[in-house]
Amino acid sequence: MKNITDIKHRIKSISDTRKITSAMETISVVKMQKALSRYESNKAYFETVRKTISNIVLYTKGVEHKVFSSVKENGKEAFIVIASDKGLAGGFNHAVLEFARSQMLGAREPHLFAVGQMCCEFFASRKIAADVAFADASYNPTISEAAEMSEKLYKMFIGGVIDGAYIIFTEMAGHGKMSPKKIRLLPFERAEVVHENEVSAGEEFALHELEYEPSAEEVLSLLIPQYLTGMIYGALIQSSACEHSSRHSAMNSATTNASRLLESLELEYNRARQESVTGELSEIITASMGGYGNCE
Amino acid sequence: MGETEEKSFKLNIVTPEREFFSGEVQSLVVNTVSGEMGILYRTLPLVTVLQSGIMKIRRNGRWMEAANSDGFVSVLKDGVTVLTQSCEWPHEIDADIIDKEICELQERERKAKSAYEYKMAKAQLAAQFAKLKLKNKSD
Repeated sequence: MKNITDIKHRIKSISDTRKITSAMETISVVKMQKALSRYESNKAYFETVRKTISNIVLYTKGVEHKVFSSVKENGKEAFIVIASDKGLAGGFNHAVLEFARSQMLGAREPHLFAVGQMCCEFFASRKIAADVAFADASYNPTISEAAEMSEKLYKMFIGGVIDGAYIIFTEMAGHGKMSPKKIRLLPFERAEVVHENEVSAGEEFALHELEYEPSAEEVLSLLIPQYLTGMIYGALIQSSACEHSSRHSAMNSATTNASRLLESLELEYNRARQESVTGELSEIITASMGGYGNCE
Repeated sequence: MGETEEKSFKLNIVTPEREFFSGEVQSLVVNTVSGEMGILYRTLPLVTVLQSGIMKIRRNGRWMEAANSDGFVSVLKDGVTVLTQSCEWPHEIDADIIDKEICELQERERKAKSAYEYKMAKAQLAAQFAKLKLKNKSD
Protein backbone atom coordinates (compact mmCIF):
# COMPACT_ATOMS: atom_id res chain seq x y z
CA MET A 1 0.00 0.00 0.00
CA LYS A 2 1.23 3.43 -0.96
CA ASN A 3 1.84 6.19 1.46
CA ILE A 4 -1.04 8.67 1.76
CA THR A 5 1.22 11.72 1.47
CA ASP A 6 2.85 10.31 -1.67
CA ILE A 7 -0.51 9.91 -3.31
CA LYS A 8 -1.51 13.38 -2.22
CA HIS A 9 1.61 14.82 -3.83
CA ARG A 10 0.94 13.02 -7.07
CA ILE A 11 -2.64 14.19 -7.12
CA LYS A 12 -1.48 17.75 -6.61
CA SER A 13 1.14 17.64 -9.34
CA ILE A 14 -1.16 15.96 -11.83
CA SER A 15 -3.97 18.39 -11.23
CA ASP A 16 -1.50 21.25 -11.72
CA THR A 17 -0.40 19.76 -15.01
CA ARG A 18 -3.99 19.32 -16.01
CA LYS A 19 -4.62 22.97 -15.35
CA ILE A 20 -1.80 23.89 -17.72
CA THR A 21 -2.87 21.50 -20.47
CA SER A 22 -6.48 22.55 -20.31
CA ALA A 23 -5.46 26.22 -20.45
CA MET A 24 -3.29 25.47 -23.47
CA GLU A 25 -6.18 23.63 -25.03
CA THR A 26 -8.51 26.60 -24.59
CA ILE A 27 -5.93 28.92 -26.11
CA SER A 28 -5.22 26.61 -29.00
CA VAL A 29 -8.92 26.40 -29.85
CA VAL A 30 -9.00 30.15 -30.45
CA LYS A 31 -5.70 30.12 -32.32
CA MET A 32 -6.80 27.17 -34.39
CA GLN A 33 -10.03 28.83 -35.44
CA LYS A 34 -8.14 31.95 -36.46
CA ALA A 35 -5.54 29.98 -38.37
CA LEU A 36 -8.18 27.87 -40.06
CA SER A 37 -10.15 30.87 -41.24
CA ARG A 38 -6.94 32.39 -42.58
CA TYR A 39 -6.21 29.15 -44.30
CA GLU A 40 -9.68 29.03 -45.85
CA SER A 41 -9.36 32.55 -47.24
CA ASN A 42 -5.86 31.88 -48.51
CA LYS A 43 -6.76 28.61 -50.21
CA ALA A 44 -8.25 30.31 -53.26
CA TYR A 45 -5.12 32.41 -53.73
CA PHE A 46 -2.77 29.49 -53.26
CA GLU A 47 -4.62 27.41 -55.82
CA THR A 48 -5.09 30.27 -58.28
CA VAL A 49 -1.39 31.11 -58.18
CA ARG A 50 -0.48 27.53 -58.94
CA LYS A 51 -3.01 27.30 -61.73
CA THR A 52 -2.00 30.59 -63.29
CA ILE A 53 1.65 29.66 -63.29
CA SER A 54 0.96 26.30 -64.86
CA ASN A 55 -1.15 28.02 -67.52
CA ILE A 56 1.71 30.36 -68.22
CA VAL A 57 4.10 27.45 -68.47
CA LEU A 58 1.70 25.65 -70.80
CA TYR A 59 1.17 28.54 -73.15
CA THR A 60 4.71 29.85 -73.24
CA LYS A 61 6.81 28.68 -76.09
CA GLY A 62 10.15 29.90 -77.24
CA VAL A 63 10.76 32.06 -74.19
CA GLU A 64 14.12 31.34 -72.67
CA HIS A 65 14.27 31.83 -68.94
CA LYS A 66 16.18 30.04 -66.27
CA VAL A 67 12.98 29.02 -64.51
CA PHE A 68 11.92 26.93 -67.48
CA SER A 69 15.07 24.85 -67.42
CA SER A 70 14.49 21.20 -66.69
CA VAL A 71 15.15 19.63 -63.32
CA LYS A 72 18.80 18.68 -62.93
CA GLU A 73 19.63 15.27 -61.65
CA ASN A 74 21.72 15.55 -58.53
CA GLY A 75 21.78 19.33 -58.62
CA LYS A 76 22.22 21.77 -55.79
CA GLU A 77 18.89 22.20 -54.13
CA ALA A 78 17.36 24.50 -51.58
CA PHE A 79 14.79 23.33 -49.09
CA ILE A 80 12.43 25.54 -47.18
CA VAL A 81 11.41 23.52 -44.16
CA ILE A 82 8.51 24.78 -42.10
CA ALA A 83 8.02 23.55 -38.55
CA SER A 84 6.72 25.34 -35.49
CA ASP A 85 8.21 27.69 -32.92
CA LYS A 86 6.94 25.78 -29.94
CA GLY A 87 6.76 22.19 -28.96
CA LEU A 88 3.90 20.38 -27.24
CA ALA A 89 2.03 19.86 -30.47
CA GLY A 90 1.95 16.10 -30.58
CA GLY A 91 3.81 14.55 -33.47
CA PHE A 92 3.56 17.66 -35.59
CA ASN A 93 7.21 18.76 -35.57
CA HIS A 94 8.63 15.28 -35.54
CA ALA A 95 6.66 14.18 -38.60
CA VAL A 96 7.57 17.11 -40.79
CA LEU A 97 11.20 17.30 -39.70
CA GLU A 98 11.91 13.61 -40.15
CA PHE A 99 10.27 13.80 -43.57
CA ALA A 100 12.43 16.79 -44.47
CA ARG A 101 15.59 15.03 -43.32
CA SER A 102 14.86 11.95 -45.38
CA GLN A 103 14.18 14.15 -48.40
CA MET A 104 17.38 16.09 -47.93
CA LEU A 105 19.57 13.01 -47.61
CA GLY A 106 19.50 12.46 -51.35
CA ALA A 107 20.50 16.00 -52.26
CA ARG A 108 24.09 16.69 -53.18
CA GLU A 109 24.43 20.13 -51.70
CA PRO A 110 21.33 20.97 -49.73
CA HIS A 111 20.72 24.58 -48.81
CA LEU A 112 18.38 24.92 -45.90
CA PHE A 113 15.89 27.65 -45.14
CA ALA A 114 14.76 26.82 -41.65
CA VAL A 115 11.44 28.25 -40.52
CA GLY A 116 10.50 27.95 -36.88
CA GLN A 117 12.48 27.52 -33.70
CA MET A 118 12.02 23.75 -33.60
CA CYS A 119 13.29 23.41 -37.13
CA CYS A 120 16.44 25.43 -36.40
CA GLU A 121 17.15 23.32 -33.32
CA PHE A 122 16.48 20.04 -35.06
CA PHE A 123 18.98 20.70 -37.83
CA ALA A 124 21.51 22.37 -35.56
CA SER A 125 21.63 19.27 -33.37
CA ARG A 126 22.22 17.18 -36.50
CA LYS A 127 25.07 19.44 -37.59
CA ILE A 128 23.25 20.77 -40.65
CA ALA A 129 23.73 24.50 -40.90
CA ALA A 130 20.78 26.55 -42.06
CA ASP A 131 21.59 29.05 -44.80
CA VAL A 132 18.81 31.28 -43.65
CA ALA A 133 16.88 30.89 -40.43
CA PHE A 134 13.52 32.43 -39.74
CA ALA A 135 13.18 31.54 -36.11
CA ASP A 136 9.83 33.12 -35.40
CA ALA A 137 8.07 33.21 -38.71
CA SER A 138 5.80 30.25 -38.25
CA TYR A 139 3.67 31.28 -35.30
CA ASN A 140 1.98 34.19 -36.98
CA PRO A 141 3.10 34.25 -40.59
CA THR A 142 3.11 37.53 -42.50
CA ILE A 143 3.39 38.33 -46.17
CA SER A 144 6.55 40.36 -45.68
CA GLU A 145 8.38 37.37 -44.21
CA ALA A 146 7.29 35.26 -47.13
CA ALA A 147 8.43 38.02 -49.49
CA GLU A 148 11.84 38.10 -47.85
CA MET A 149 12.27 34.36 -48.26
CA SER A 150 11.15 34.43 -51.86
CA GLU A 151 13.52 37.27 -52.69
CA LYS A 152 16.46 35.35 -51.21
CA LEU A 153 15.48 32.14 -52.92
CA TYR A 154 15.04 33.81 -56.29
CA LYS A 155 18.39 35.56 -56.04
CA MET A 156 20.12 32.28 -55.23
CA PHE A 157 18.40 30.59 -58.14
CA ILE A 158 19.21 33.29 -60.67
CA GLY A 159 22.74 33.57 -59.34
CA GLY A 160 23.27 29.86 -59.91
CA VAL A 161 23.84 29.03 -56.24
CA ILE A 162 21.01 26.51 -56.47
CA ASP A 163 19.47 24.55 -59.34
CA GLY A 164 16.14 23.86 -57.73
CA ALA A 165 14.01 24.70 -54.75
CA TYR A 166 11.53 22.76 -52.70
CA ILE A 167 9.23 23.65 -49.89
CA ILE A 168 8.43 21.13 -47.17
CA PHE A 169 5.47 21.82 -44.91
CA THR A 170 2.52 20.14 -43.27
CA GLU A 171 -0.48 19.95 -45.49
CA MET A 172 -4.12 19.92 -44.49
CA ALA A 173 -5.59 16.79 -45.97
CA GLY A 174 -9.12 17.55 -44.79
CA HIS A 175 -11.14 16.04 -41.93
CA GLY A 176 -8.50 17.05 -39.42
CA LYS A 177 -5.88 14.92 -41.11
CA MET A 178 -2.48 16.32 -41.94
CA SER A 179 0.62 15.05 -43.60
CA PRO A 180 4.05 16.40 -44.52
CA LYS A 181 4.32 17.45 -48.13
CA LYS A 182 7.02 18.49 -50.54
CA ILE A 183 6.32 20.84 -53.43
CA ARG A 184 8.81 21.89 -56.05
CA LEU A 185 8.91 25.67 -56.39
CA LEU A 186 11.63 26.01 -58.99
CA PRO A 187 12.22 25.30 -61.81
CA PHE A 188 8.96 24.73 -63.65
CA GLU A 189 9.06 21.67 -65.79
CA ARG A 190 6.79 21.80 -68.77
CA ALA A 191 6.33 18.07 -69.17
CA GLU A 192 5.18 17.71 -65.60
CA VAL A 193 2.77 20.63 -65.83
CA VAL A 194 1.24 19.29 -69.04
CA HIS A 195 0.83 15.92 -67.41
CA GLU A 196 -0.68 17.40 -64.27
CA ASN A 197 -3.15 19.51 -66.21
CA GLU A 198 -4.36 16.68 -68.36
CA VAL A 199 -5.05 14.65 -65.32
CA SER A 200 -6.71 17.35 -63.25
CA ALA A 201 -8.57 19.40 -65.83
CA GLY A 202 -9.20 16.71 -68.36
CA GLU A 203 -9.83 19.23 -71.11
CA GLU A 204 -7.65 19.92 -74.07
CA PHE A 205 -6.31 23.42 -74.32
CA ALA A 206 -5.50 24.55 -77.77
CA LEU A 207 -1.91 25.60 -77.35
CA HIS A 208 -1.66 29.20 -78.28
CA GLU A 209 1.03 31.63 -77.36
CA LEU A 210 0.76 34.16 -74.61
CA GLU A 211 1.69 37.76 -75.07
CA TYR A 212 3.90 39.37 -72.50
CA GLU A 213 3.60 43.04 -71.75
CA PRO A 214 6.16 44.74 -71.84
CA SER A 215 8.49 41.76 -72.43
CA ALA A 216 8.70 38.17 -71.31
CA GLU A 217 11.92 38.68 -69.37
CA GLU A 218 10.59 41.66 -67.51
CA VAL A 219 7.26 40.07 -66.69
CA LEU A 220 8.81 36.82 -65.53
CA SER A 221 11.42 38.51 -63.38
CA LEU A 222 8.65 40.34 -61.52
CA LEU A 223 6.14 37.56 -61.59
CA ILE A 224 8.22 34.70 -60.28
CA PRO A 225 9.16 36.32 -56.94
CA GLN A 226 5.47 37.08 -56.47
CA TYR A 227 4.56 33.52 -57.28
CA LEU A 228 7.14 32.31 -54.77
CA THR A 229 5.83 34.70 -52.15
CA GLY A 230 2.31 33.44 -52.69
CA MET A 231 3.35 29.82 -52.44
CA ILE A 232 5.51 30.33 -49.37
CA TYR A 233 2.86 32.37 -47.60
CA GLY A 234 0.25 29.73 -48.37
CA ALA A 235 2.50 27.00 -47.02
CA LEU A 236 3.23 29.00 -43.87
CA ILE A 237 -0.46 29.52 -43.25
CA GLN A 238 -1.31 25.89 -43.81
CA SER A 239 1.48 24.80 -41.55
CA SER A 240 0.38 27.14 -38.78
CA ALA A 241 -3.21 25.94 -39.06
CA CYS A 242 -1.95 22.36 -38.78
CA GLU A 243 0.26 23.26 -35.83
CA HIS A 244 -2.59 24.76 -33.86
CA SER A 245 -5.02 21.97 -34.59
CA SER A 246 -2.41 19.37 -33.75
CA ARG A 247 -1.60 21.17 -30.50
CA HIS A 248 -5.30 21.31 -29.76
CA SER A 249 -5.74 17.57 -30.11
CA ALA A 250 -2.53 16.84 -28.19
CA MET A 251 -3.59 19.04 -25.31
CA ASN A 252 -7.09 17.66 -25.40
CA SER A 253 -5.87 14.09 -25.00
CA ALA A 254 -3.37 15.18 -22.33
CA THR A 255 -6.18 16.73 -20.32
CA THR A 256 -8.35 13.63 -20.70
CA ASN A 257 -5.48 11.41 -19.61
CA ALA A 258 -4.78 13.58 -16.60
CA SER A 259 -8.44 13.40 -15.59
CA ARG A 260 -8.46 9.65 -15.89
CA LEU A 261 -5.28 9.35 -13.90
CA LEU A 262 -6.66 11.66 -11.23
CA GLU A 263 -9.78 9.53 -10.91
CA SER A 264 -7.82 6.37 -10.26
CA LEU A 265 -5.45 8.18 -7.91
CA GLU A 266 -8.35 9.57 -5.93
CA LEU A 267 -9.73 6.06 -5.60
CA GLU A 268 -6.38 4.85 -4.39
CA TYR A 269 -6.11 7.77 -2.00
CA ASN A 270 -9.54 7.09 -0.53
CA ARG A 271 -8.72 3.45 -0.17
CA ALA A 272 -5.48 4.24 1.61
CA ARG A 273 -7.22 6.71 3.88
CA GLN A 274 -9.98 4.26 4.65
CA GLU A 275 -7.43 1.63 5.42
CA SER A 276 -5.60 3.84 7.84
CA VAL A 277 -8.88 4.82 9.49
CA THR A 278 -9.83 1.17 9.81
CA GLY A 279 -6.41 0.39 11.18
CA GLU A 280 -6.66 3.14 13.75
CA LEU A 281 -10.16 2.11 14.72
CA SER A 282 -9.19 -1.48 15.23
CA GLU A 283 -6.22 -0.32 17.24
CA ILE A 284 -8.48 1.76 19.48
CA ILE A 285 -10.94 -1.09 19.83
CA THR A 286 -8.24 -3.57 20.65
CA ALA A 287 -6.71 -1.14 23.08
CA SER A 288 -10.04 -0.41 24.78
CA MET A 289 -10.92 -4.09 24.91
CA GLY A 290 -7.56 -4.76 26.44
CA GLY A 291 -8.35 -1.98 28.95
CA TYR A 292 -11.70 -3.53 29.85
CA GLY A 293 -10.01 -6.87 30.26
CA ASN A 294 -7.60 -5.28 32.69
CA CYS A 295 -10.39 -3.62 34.70
CA GLU A 296 -12.31 -6.74 35.22
CA MET B 1 -26.34 56.23 -78.88
CA GLY B 2 -27.64 52.76 -79.43
CA GLU B 3 -25.40 50.77 -77.21
CA THR B 4 -25.33 47.17 -78.24
CA GLU B 5 -25.24 44.41 -75.69
CA GLU B 6 -21.66 44.07 -74.56
CA LYS B 7 -20.08 40.72 -74.13
CA SER B 8 -18.86 39.93 -70.68
CA PHE B 9 -16.02 37.79 -69.41
CA LYS B 10 -15.19 36.06 -66.18
CA LEU B 11 -13.02 38.01 -63.78
CA ASN B 12 -11.36 36.69 -60.66
CA ILE B 13 -9.49 38.91 -58.26
CA VAL B 14 -7.70 37.03 -55.51
CA THR B 15 -5.47 38.20 -52.68
CA PRO B 16 -3.70 36.07 -50.07
CA GLU B 17 -6.25 37.21 -47.48
CA ARG B 18 -9.45 36.63 -49.40
CA GLU B 19 -11.19 36.12 -52.70
CA PHE B 20 -11.80 39.76 -53.50
CA PHE B 21 -14.04 39.55 -56.52
CA SER B 22 -15.44 36.88 -58.75
CA GLY B 23 -18.00 37.35 -61.48
CA GLU B 24 -18.91 38.39 -65.00
CA VAL B 25 -17.76 41.86 -66.03
CA GLN B 26 -17.73 43.83 -69.25
CA SER B 27 -14.49 45.69 -68.88
CA LEU B 28 -11.46 46.01 -66.66
CA VAL B 29 -8.84 48.77 -66.51
CA VAL B 30 -5.63 48.09 -64.62
CA ASN B 31 -2.33 49.85 -64.00
CA THR B 32 0.62 47.99 -65.45
CA VAL B 33 4.30 48.82 -65.56
CA SER B 34 3.84 50.23 -69.04
CA GLY B 35 0.73 52.28 -68.28
CA GLU B 36 -2.99 51.74 -68.01
CA MET B 37 -4.42 48.79 -69.82
CA GLY B 38 -8.02 48.10 -70.71
CA ILE B 39 -9.22 44.55 -70.99
CA LEU B 40 -12.41 43.62 -72.82
CA TYR B 41 -14.08 40.43 -73.93
CA ARG B 42 -11.73 38.42 -76.11
CA THR B 43 -8.59 40.38 -75.38
CA LEU B 44 -5.62 38.42 -76.66
CA PRO B 45 -4.19 36.06 -74.06
CA LEU B 46 -1.44 37.86 -72.21
CA VAL B 47 0.39 38.13 -68.94
CA THR B 48 1.35 41.44 -67.46
CA VAL B 49 2.63 42.92 -64.25
CA LEU B 50 0.22 44.89 -62.12
CA GLN B 51 1.30 48.04 -60.36
CA SER B 52 -0.15 49.65 -57.28
CA GLY B 53 -3.00 51.89 -58.29
CA ILE B 54 -6.69 52.12 -58.85
CA MET B 55 -8.36 49.38 -60.78
CA LYS B 56 -11.65 50.00 -62.60
CA ILE B 57 -14.21 47.33 -63.21
CA ARG B 58 -17.37 47.73 -65.25
CA ARG B 59 -20.20 45.44 -64.37
CA ASN B 60 -23.68 45.78 -65.86
CA GLY B 61 -22.91 49.30 -67.06
CA ARG B 62 -21.70 50.51 -63.68
CA TRP B 63 -18.07 51.36 -62.96
CA MET B 64 -16.55 50.18 -59.72
CA GLU B 65 -13.18 51.13 -58.39
CA ALA B 66 -10.77 49.37 -56.08
CA ALA B 67 -7.26 50.12 -54.84
CA ASN B 68 -4.76 47.37 -55.48
CA SER B 69 -1.12 46.77 -54.66
CA ASP B 70 1.34 45.01 -56.94
CA GLY B 71 0.66 41.66 -58.51
CA PHE B 72 0.01 40.20 -61.90
CA VAL B 73 -2.78 39.84 -64.42
CA SER B 74 -3.27 36.85 -66.63
CA VAL B 75 -5.71 37.02 -69.49
CA LEU B 76 -6.59 33.62 -70.79
CA LYS B 77 -9.30 32.30 -73.06
CA ASP B 78 -11.48 31.15 -70.20
CA GLY B 79 -11.23 34.28 -68.09
CA VAL B 80 -9.12 36.94 -66.50
CA THR B 81 -7.30 36.41 -63.22
CA VAL B 82 -5.84 39.22 -61.16
CA LEU B 83 -3.49 38.17 -58.38
CA THR B 84 -2.48 40.93 -56.05
CA GLN B 85 -1.06 41.25 -52.55
CA SER B 86 -3.97 43.37 -51.37
CA CYS B 87 -7.11 44.89 -52.80
CA GLU B 88 -9.77 47.07 -51.21
CA TRP B 89 -13.05 48.77 -52.05
CA PRO B 90 -13.30 52.48 -51.17
CA HIS B 91 -15.67 51.88 -48.25
CA GLU B 92 -13.19 49.50 -46.63
CA ILE B 93 -10.45 52.09 -46.53
CA ASP B 94 -9.81 53.97 -43.30
CA ALA B 95 -7.90 57.20 -43.94
CA ASP B 96 -6.56 57.41 -40.38
CA ILE B 97 -5.01 53.99 -40.49
CA ILE B 98 -3.44 54.78 -43.84
CA ASP B 99 -1.95 58.01 -42.52
CA LYS B 100 -0.30 56.06 -39.74
CA GLU B 101 0.91 53.40 -42.15
CA ILE B 102 2.38 56.01 -44.45
CA CYS B 103 4.31 57.62 -41.60
CA GLU B 104 5.65 54.26 -40.55
CA LEU B 105 6.63 53.29 -44.07
CA GLN B 106 8.35 56.58 -44.74
CA GLU B 107 10.36 56.00 -41.61
CA ARG B 108 11.26 52.54 -42.81
CA GLU B 109 12.18 53.86 -46.23
CA ARG B 110 14.60 56.34 -44.66
CA LYS B 111 16.15 53.76 -42.39
CA ALA B 112 16.34 50.99 -44.98
CA LYS B 113 19.53 48.97 -44.56
CA SER B 114 19.51 47.33 -47.96
CA ALA B 115 18.31 48.03 -51.45
CA TYR B 116 15.74 45.31 -50.94
CA GLU B 117 14.26 46.91 -47.84
CA TYR B 118 14.11 50.25 -49.60
CA LYS B 119 12.35 48.69 -52.56
CA MET B 120 9.84 46.93 -50.32
CA ALA B 121 9.02 50.08 -48.37
CA LYS B 122 8.66 52.04 -51.59
CA ALA B 123 6.27 49.49 -53.10
CA GLN B 124 4.16 49.41 -49.96
CA LEU B 125 4.08 53.20 -49.86
CA ALA B 126 2.81 53.29 -53.42
CA ALA B 127 0.02 50.89 -52.48
CA GLN B 128 -0.98 53.06 -49.50
CA PHE B 129 -1.00 56.20 -51.63
CA ALA B 130 -3.23 54.48 -54.16
CA LYS B 131 -5.67 53.65 -51.38
CA LEU B 132 -5.64 57.20 -50.11
CA LYS B 133 -6.24 58.56 -53.58
CA LEU B 134 -9.22 56.31 -54.07
CA LYS B 135 -10.62 57.24 -50.67
CA ASN B 136 -10.34 60.96 -51.37
CA LYS B 137 -11.91 60.46 -54.77
CA SER B 138 -14.91 58.61 -53.45
CA ASP B 139 -15.61 60.94 -50.51
